[in-house]
Amino acid sequence: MPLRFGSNYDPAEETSSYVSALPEPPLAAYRAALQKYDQTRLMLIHRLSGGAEVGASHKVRPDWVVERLAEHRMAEKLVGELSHSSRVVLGLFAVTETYSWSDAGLSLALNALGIDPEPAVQPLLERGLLAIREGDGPPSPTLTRLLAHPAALNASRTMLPEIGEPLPVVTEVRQIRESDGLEPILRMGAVWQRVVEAPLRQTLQGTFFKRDRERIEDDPVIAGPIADAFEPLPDMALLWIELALAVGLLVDETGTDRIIAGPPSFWTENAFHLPQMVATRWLGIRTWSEQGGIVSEVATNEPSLPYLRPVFMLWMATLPEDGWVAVDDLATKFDELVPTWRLPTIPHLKGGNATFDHSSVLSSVLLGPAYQLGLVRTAEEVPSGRRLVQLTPLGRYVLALGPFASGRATFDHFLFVQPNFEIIAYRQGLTPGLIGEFSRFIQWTQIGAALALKLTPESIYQGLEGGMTPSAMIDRLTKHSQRALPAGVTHAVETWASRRERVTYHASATLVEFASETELEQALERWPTAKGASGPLRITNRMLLVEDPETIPFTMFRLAGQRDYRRAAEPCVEVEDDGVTLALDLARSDLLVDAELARFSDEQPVQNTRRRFLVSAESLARGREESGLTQSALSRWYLQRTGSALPAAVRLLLYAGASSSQIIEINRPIVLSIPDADLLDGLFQHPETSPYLAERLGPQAATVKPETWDEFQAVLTRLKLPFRDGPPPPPPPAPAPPPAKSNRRTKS
Amino acid sequence: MSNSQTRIPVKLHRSVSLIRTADAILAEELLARKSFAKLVVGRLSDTVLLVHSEEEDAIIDELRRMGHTPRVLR
Repeated sequence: MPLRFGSNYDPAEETSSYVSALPEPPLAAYRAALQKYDQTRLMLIHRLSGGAEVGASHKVRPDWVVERLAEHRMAEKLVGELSHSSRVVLGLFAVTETYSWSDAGLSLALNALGIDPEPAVQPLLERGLLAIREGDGPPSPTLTRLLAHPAALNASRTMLPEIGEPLPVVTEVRQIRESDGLEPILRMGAVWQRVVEAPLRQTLQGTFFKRDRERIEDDPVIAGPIADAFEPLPDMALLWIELALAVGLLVDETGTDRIIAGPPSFWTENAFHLPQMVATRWLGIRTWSEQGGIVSEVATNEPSLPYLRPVFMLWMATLPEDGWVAVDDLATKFDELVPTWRLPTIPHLKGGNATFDHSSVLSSVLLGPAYQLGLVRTAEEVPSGRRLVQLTPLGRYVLALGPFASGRATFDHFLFVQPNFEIIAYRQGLTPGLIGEFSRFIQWTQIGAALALKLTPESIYQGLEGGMTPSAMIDRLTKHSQRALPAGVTHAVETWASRRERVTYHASATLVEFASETELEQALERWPTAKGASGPLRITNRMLLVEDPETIPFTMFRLAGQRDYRRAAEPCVEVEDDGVTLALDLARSDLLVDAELARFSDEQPVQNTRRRFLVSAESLARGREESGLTQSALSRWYLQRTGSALPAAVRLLLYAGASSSQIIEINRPIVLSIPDADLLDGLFQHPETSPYLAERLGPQAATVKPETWDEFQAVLTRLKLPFRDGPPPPPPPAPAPPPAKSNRRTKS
Repeated sequence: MSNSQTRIPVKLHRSVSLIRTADAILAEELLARKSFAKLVVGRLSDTVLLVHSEEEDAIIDELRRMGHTPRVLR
């Protein structure tokens, strides 16, 4: 399998969209790539990655390589033996926390770092630290991916490029500006709130439904201009969504096409490190570019800038911590290294004309997201006024080149809570943690130099849903408010919270049903309740509701039956012989069946402990009028609940109740009863008699058309066929018993 | 008497979707609204209404339209 860095690639052959590639777990993707290798290549990797000698007749299995590299020591040993250039390659994977780079993207990044790609990558492929996966179709450096073994990333460190000609350092500066780094967190907080309210639906192609996309894009809190900005962020709302997805604040809902909000606990668990998490995800995000915004799902070429972001940052890291570099000088450096680096997409055509202004391309990254994330600060050169940039401590920390950046000083009382429930927040007091706390129960209504929030019933309910208590909310507001909270605000929070307690929706409750109230009482007496845990709740005289089924003391119960309502309904009703009586199988029945039966039948008095329901014309009429019951719906119910089709007796009642029923015709046929089947055959065959006969009922019986009876009698008479019209004559009286024999001699 | 003999026979209903109200009057109020009532499968008690889980979004939307803010337990 040849490595095709810079090989004869013709962009005109590019037909497939690289965006359509589905994400897969890193190790699975790596393993799948190895499985396509031939034995020669696998044998080489096996040998160079420290595998034991294998005989010529044996085959090397890809799993051997996967498992050997998974040993951290082995991965560290292999990485330690690499050249500086190869370690820079792995460093790019590590600093962006990405496991997959396109051939073209990696080539561009390495060239921009002053490294020849092929000699740097080849040793990694030979040791299995990277695997190469060709795309389908014609050769393409965009579709060809280089996949890192996860252990290789763990064993790698950020490596700076070898400087050569150093960047010109500027030390005399003015008007230093640095963002607070909160803008992305604030905007993502607002996105999270909107998605909590209503998830984002996606089409099969992975784009958002138009209405959902517009809802986010038209929201000024999310997509409005940033107050402290040097460069605009194209498709800003979608960038926040991409970043929120990347860090786990939003998640793809399993089994659906929806994007839903991550749990509120995300904020408490991750807020402290969120700036670093977001910055790292930005370094690796490929679906959005500073020049073109969100990448179209049908794009055939990749944007260049996602692959250059870490390169820009690494070059800046070569400067002394207090050194500044002019954006122009940095751009000139890249012009020297890769003349086509400014082109918006990769791969670059030979002789491509870079029409974009090099400073503006670089500024869109460094003074765009990097500035907003707090990774880069800026100043003006004295006296030229040229725009300068410098990495912040957070920027160095994100590159794993500096200590943890503890953040800026804040102050506690930065909220101004107004009686109309509107809140003004001063950014200087905010931290990512506080943004998370407020996002859970206060609606962001404006994000700018000053921030505006609003308490609403819905926001309070969201907070309660997320596990906050009213007192915790009031405490948060009180702690950070400049003045005492208006009484109305405290009262409103408590009132809104209490209203929420009035209706509870249990999405997946567990109910324990008892045979009698007495047994329920016995169970309640013996039910162990742990401290702080909510015990069972009596909802009827025979039923308990349990919020956590794990707390049910099964040792004191004998399961007489159980039903999981996520599964399809089961048959639990028997149809009795009359077709209209339904008997409930109590062991298999569920709570829904009672309600279903009540729609079209009436419960009868209990006999022999069996519950029975009668289907009548009246009950069916009720079902039709009150519940819109149709014959097809009832047929489905019978199949589901009785396991058999609608009984004829019920079909009869439905027929009777239907407005378009046809009339049942009733007539009184004249039936001939013939002593011999041959004789009846003759009647059907004879031309004089056959016109009068209607239907043969059996071998010796047939009906006569009533209207022709008189004529038929005449024919029978003419043919001298004896017949009798009317009921059969009474049987002759039984013959009298013979007189008893007399012993008396008679006179002869 | 052995332990098994003293066990209470029960029937377990798992993953049931239902609405619980603070009082019976509130349940009546909910059921008085036709668009909501048609989403209710049955009434287990004065304050407990049985619903189909697949109607969850519609039920919560309807409750919100009626001015309620249900606590949702999953």
